[in-house]
Amino acid sequence: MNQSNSIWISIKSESDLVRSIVEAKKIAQGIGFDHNSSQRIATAVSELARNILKYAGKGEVVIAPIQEGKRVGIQIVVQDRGPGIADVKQAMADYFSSSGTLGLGLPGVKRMMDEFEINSVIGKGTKVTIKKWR
Amino acid sequence: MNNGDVQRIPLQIVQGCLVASLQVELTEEVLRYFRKDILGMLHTTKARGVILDLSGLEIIDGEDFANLQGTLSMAKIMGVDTILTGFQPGVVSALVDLVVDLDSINAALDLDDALQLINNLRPLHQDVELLPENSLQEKLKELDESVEFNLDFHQE
Repeated sequence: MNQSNSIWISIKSESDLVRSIVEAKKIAQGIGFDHNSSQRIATAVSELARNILKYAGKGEVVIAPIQEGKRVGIQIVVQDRGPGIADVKQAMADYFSSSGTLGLGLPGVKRMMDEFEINSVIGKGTKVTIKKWR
Repeated sequence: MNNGDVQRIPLQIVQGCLVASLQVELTEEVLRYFRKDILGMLHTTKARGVILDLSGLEIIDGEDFANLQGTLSMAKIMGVDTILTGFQPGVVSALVDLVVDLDSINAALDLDDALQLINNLRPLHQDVELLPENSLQEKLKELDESVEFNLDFHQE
């Protein structure tokens, strides 16, 4: 297994978004995820980082390899100090949208990953932690 | 707006169809110009179909896909058939998880298939203007110089 380091990316513009997608894919592949899984992980990062740009303006993405006993995986933390989500339960339901087109994509991200955790406080921000085990 | 530094998605005409080969990272800006180019080209070339070759795309998220679908709906309203081709397996499985609406699209495994499908949907008629490649670039330039038209698309 190639050693992959974790990476911290500040998300302020669309080019940061593109960078977080590329890095997520690279790190996932370094951990040993196959091409398909790496694409799915990178898509999940894309969805979450896009929410930052759309709703909070800026935030950060931390991508790290993780290990628990024998299993290895990837963890991604996406957080912002934006407006927060008023009704997380509703945001986790399919076909919910508060602005424009698609909603937050959160249920989709949850389906793509093994573990999904969201903390959101109105006026303080939102933190989403996702994990995928190899 | 300065459009000199935006990467443009290359367009070609093959058997009377507009074929776009998406190879660059999709950003809002790239997608905006893409929409403008596609619709402008349909208007001027009278192509009978649009084929988007997605084989070069590693990641398509829900937002990108919705944007592409918006462009395809517009093309459809202009009266052409639209086909997506070359989906990578990882891209498809992610899109299915994101529950984007995949039922409304025509898809084909590769470009040959896509052209075949277009032939079935819309048999080649005589008055399709088959343009040599360099004139396509000319037309694109003309389009750029024409008045900026607003193609933003919002689905409520």
